[in-house]
Amino acid sequence: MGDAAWPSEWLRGVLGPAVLSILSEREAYGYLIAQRLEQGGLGHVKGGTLYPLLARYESAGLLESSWQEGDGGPGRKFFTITEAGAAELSGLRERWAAFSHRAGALINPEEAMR
Amino acid sequence: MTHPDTDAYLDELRTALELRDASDHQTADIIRQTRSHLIDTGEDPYEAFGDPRDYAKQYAPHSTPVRFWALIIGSVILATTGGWLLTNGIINLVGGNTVLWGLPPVVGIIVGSLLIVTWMAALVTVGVRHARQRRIRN
Repeated sequence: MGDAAWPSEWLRGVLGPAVLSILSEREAYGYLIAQRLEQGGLGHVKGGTLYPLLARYESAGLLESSWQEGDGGPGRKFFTITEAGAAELSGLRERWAAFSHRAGALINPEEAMR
Repeated sequence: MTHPDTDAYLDELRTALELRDASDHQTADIIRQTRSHLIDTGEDPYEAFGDPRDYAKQYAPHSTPVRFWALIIGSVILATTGGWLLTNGIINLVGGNTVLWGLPPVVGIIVGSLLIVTWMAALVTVGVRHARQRRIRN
């Protein structure tokens, strides 16, 4: 299945936990996060979707950011996950496992029976 | 290589953020981050971020209704209290009486005048700000 096939409603639900998970590995700036999402198979996430999410998480204390200067360019804003963000991610991971299992059983019961 | 529409888009975005009363720091941060992304990707900014007004809305939702009611309520309180204290102070100064809590009438005049000056300064500030926003829109 091609990456472009994911319904946008699905992506909206999974984007936040995926971003937190990427940032739990190492700090990253927006474009790098978008690349990781694409490499992970979620498709191309537009800047207009990703950056407001990062800003909301930063306001909520789940992320911190700092600018790192580039060579003559505007630099890059790197995001790191906070302790609160890591705790949020841990809770989301547990709930996501239960949710995806139940949703999978409902949507595709034959697959779940195997 | 950035897309040729990048500068025009960032100008529109800056205007949209200013119209939404985003702080200077927030505006500068969003513009810098958007520019950084567009330099990295070379994407068409309108494709990547959508209409600049819609994009700005995600960061700085309008607070105009709240400010409007705050101005009305603040005006009523400042003008009424200030006017009453000033009038009362003048009347009692002439009559040789005291105002509230036995304070001399001159205190009522000073406090009343300060409240009225504060009210007028708030009106002027809001007016100047409104005119500036209209200038940016045009």
